[in-house]
Amino acid sequence: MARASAARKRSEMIKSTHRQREFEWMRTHADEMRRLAGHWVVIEGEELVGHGRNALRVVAGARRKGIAVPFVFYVEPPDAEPTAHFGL
Amino acid sequence: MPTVTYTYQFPYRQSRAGGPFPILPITIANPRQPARAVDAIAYLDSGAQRSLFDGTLARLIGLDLFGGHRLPFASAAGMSIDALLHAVRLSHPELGTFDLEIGFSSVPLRRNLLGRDFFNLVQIGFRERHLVFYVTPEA
Repeated sequence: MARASAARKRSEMIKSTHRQREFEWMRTHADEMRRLAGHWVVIEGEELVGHGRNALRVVAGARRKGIAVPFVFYVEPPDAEPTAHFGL
Repeated sequence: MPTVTYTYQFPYRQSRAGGPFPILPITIANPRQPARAVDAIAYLDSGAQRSLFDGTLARLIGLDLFGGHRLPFASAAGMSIDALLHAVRLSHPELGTFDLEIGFSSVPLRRNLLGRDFFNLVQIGFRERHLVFYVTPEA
């Protein structure tokens, strides 16, 4: 009974889909992401809107294309060796 | 024993840092120029006393980075970086709006960190083994 109730509560939880398409693009375009290492990138849906080393220019370009709130991020270069990461 | 219920579930996202991380896409805006908002990727970091974002983002949303109050952020390793504090509005379509004074790094920062100042405004639970986290906005 208690298990059924807990399972029902879990199923009532809402799975967030915000920016899911963009994260999926990143996941499925690993080769492209490797090429973008060191760049600032704007993605909207499944479209690579722009990229470059100057974030201000990349975001300005996205706004000129009509994207009011660009989803912008820096693509980290890969680590030279296996590395564990912490905050700072 | 307290029981916590959660409203939203988020999957960990694959990061270029290697492996899945608890990442939240969040809108960051300068309250004085809300039209210049951007969506950024932020790592949930319960070890961070205060949220810290790349200083480039401050410029993107129209803030004068070095016009903020200076605050060093010290790491567990002992080294610290200077950050500048600015009031921002963070928002998420499901979680709501959060007004915070966060740090922006004076040097390039590879990952934006949402720290305990953000955790103070929501209820967060991690299920590391299942690579999901849960969030309920605090009333």
